[in-house]
Amino acid sequence: MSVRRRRLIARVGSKIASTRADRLLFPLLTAASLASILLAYFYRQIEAALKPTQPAAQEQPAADIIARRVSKAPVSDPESPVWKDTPAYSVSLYDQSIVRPLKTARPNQPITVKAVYDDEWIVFRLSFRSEKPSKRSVKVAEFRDACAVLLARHPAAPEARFMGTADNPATILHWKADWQLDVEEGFQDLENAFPNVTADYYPPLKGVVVDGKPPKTVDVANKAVMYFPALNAGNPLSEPIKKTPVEKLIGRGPGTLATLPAQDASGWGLWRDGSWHVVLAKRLKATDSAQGEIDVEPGKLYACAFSVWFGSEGDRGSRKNPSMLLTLLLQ
Amino acid sequence: MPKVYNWQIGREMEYWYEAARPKRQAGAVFDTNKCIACQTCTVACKTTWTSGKGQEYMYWNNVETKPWGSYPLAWDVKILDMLGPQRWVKEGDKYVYRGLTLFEAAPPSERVLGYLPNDLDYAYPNRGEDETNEPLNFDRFYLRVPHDIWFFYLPRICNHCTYPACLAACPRFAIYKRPEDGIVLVDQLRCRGYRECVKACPYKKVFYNHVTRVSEKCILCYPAVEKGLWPRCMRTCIGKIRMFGYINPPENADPENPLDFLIHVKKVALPLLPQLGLEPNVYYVPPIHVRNIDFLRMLFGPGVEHAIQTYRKAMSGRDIELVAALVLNVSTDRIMTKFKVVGNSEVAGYDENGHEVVRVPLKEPTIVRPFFDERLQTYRHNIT
Ligand code: SF4
Ligand code: SF4
Repeated sequence: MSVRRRRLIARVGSKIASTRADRLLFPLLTAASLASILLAYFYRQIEAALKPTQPAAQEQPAADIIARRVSKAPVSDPESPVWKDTPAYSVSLYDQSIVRPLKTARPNQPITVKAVYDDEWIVFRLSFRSEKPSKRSVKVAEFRDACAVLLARHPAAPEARFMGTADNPATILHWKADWQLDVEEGFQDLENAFPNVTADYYPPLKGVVVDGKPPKTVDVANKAVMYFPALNAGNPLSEPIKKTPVEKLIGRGPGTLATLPAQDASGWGLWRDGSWHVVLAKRLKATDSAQGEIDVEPGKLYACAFSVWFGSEGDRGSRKNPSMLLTLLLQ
Repeated sequence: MPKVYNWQIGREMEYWYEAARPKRQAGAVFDTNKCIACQTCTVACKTTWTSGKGQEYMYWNNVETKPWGSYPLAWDVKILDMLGPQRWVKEGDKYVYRGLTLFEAAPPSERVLGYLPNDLDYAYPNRGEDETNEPLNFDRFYLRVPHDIWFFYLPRICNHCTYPACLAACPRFAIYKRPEDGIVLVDQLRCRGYRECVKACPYKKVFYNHVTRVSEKCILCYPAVEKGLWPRCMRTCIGKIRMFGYINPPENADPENPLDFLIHVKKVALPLLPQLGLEPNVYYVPPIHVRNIDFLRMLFGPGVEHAIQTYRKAMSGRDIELVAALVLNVSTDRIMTKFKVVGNSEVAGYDENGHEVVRVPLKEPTIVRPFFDERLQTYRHNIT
């Protein structure tokens, strides 16, 4: 920009009353300078486009999320130093407006996703804001925070982001804050939610009620399993002794989610300063391939998606904030 | 949404799924005039099905005093308030509900209009017990019929609805209605504790188990029903208010079936809150001594006056067949599919194979014992 032009602009911008000539000149000069900036920009674009393409240093398909290879993947450590050197991807979450009941609100901040793998495991680390962490779901109106990673074959139909499709099943890793609390502090029993609970008798358990207090579920569940219907049926949600906060599931479309027989997923969540940092891990080699669990191999592309449930907003099931379907590459 | 026909509201309505009526529908008639709120039904159910840890607060069967009682707290008032004022319209000789059902009134993001109770809502299962509609005072404390000052008992179980809201609301198909008998069940293995059913059921008859963290509901004692026996709450009823069996839709009503007879032929038994659109399968003989007919119409729909008149007529001895159907209540624990008046003095009930399973007199004989018992050499008093 010339000295004269700059001076003119300074004059117009100042509080000094401008002359009539200045008032006419100013828009003209501004337009001219804008035009020259744009021209320069387009020239660079055209120049770049005309240049012969350089062969890439490594032939690799592009992916939205690239999992870095490490010697030992931190399968249950959100604080491992490994994560410091791992690139972070910002992933936006959306409303769930396909399967009723819907979740119409969406978080205003994207989540951060990191991924690493070693010879045995692929591990994801999801970080998301949750000002008020919800860790329990014992009371009727209590819902817990949760997050999930979905993996399917690439290319996948867009609808695969809702629990996969019939011909492209989704392997889902689902971390639940209440399961983690069960592991961390012991089973969150009736008396954790209702400290003043009293009891007189639980058939068929004679003598288990001491001083009017109910027995711990973990102590009686196997002796009275018929009195815990879902546990008796084998529902993993009802198991009072949890080994991991991450469940491994298979989905073939909305409403089809099913737990897998080999529960060998790993993970852990850390809540700090208003955010959850959750790692979720699965073995590269599927242990439930007969049920459709996906094998993950280095150098290959996969479809992936992420979802977060905010317990304080009443999220559960289809009330959640999912991402779009993305691609994942194990570098 | 598909259209289904709901005969209780006299029109087609929107429902989440296509209509799929079961081969036969298990159901019941409760005569509110005879309930004494002894809670035997409640306890029979409690000790049979919900005595485990995590089920403490659950009453699959509860008995509340109307107008003030409710479990969970204000379940009926809340959902009616959410729905807002609606209308029944007389079209020809029948009433048609021209308001919105819970499926039709659902916001665009939901499948059913509903709300999730909180723990305190379940904390007062017998709130309002024996409380009268208005405070008793000396001016009005004299008896005339119907009563100025009144209350009545309303025993409630899951209605095993023809169009269950619980089933419609579950996004993972964990609730199903058995095609063989219409019993609605929560699959304990599929349920993942989303509580969409707890939110959607207007009668609040699905419950969240605090310990297993999934939902549970009345199973209508299906192991008994499969053997031709009545559910526990029904067969233990002290007041003999209950009749259990199978109900046909009105176009297939069998006048010899005691339930069809009470519901379709005599129209003396009415659904609870039919305007919600679920076509519930537990029917109520409305209380005949309650002066507030609007309150009864709100609870049982526009057929209330007719039902009360019909019942009164029978009680004054002018409808033997209706008396016969009513005295069969809790006279046996075998499911009856037919009944017949025998010789103007007895009624017999038959199971589905045509075997007579019970025979009872239409009028119990009155035996007056002498004040002084010669044999035992003692006086009797106040013995009936
Ligand atoms: S009463 Fe409630 S729980 Fe029972 S079938 Fe109807 S909607 Fe479902
Ligand atoms: S057992 Fe019968 S009389 Fe007693 S409360 Fe229950 S329904 Fe009423």
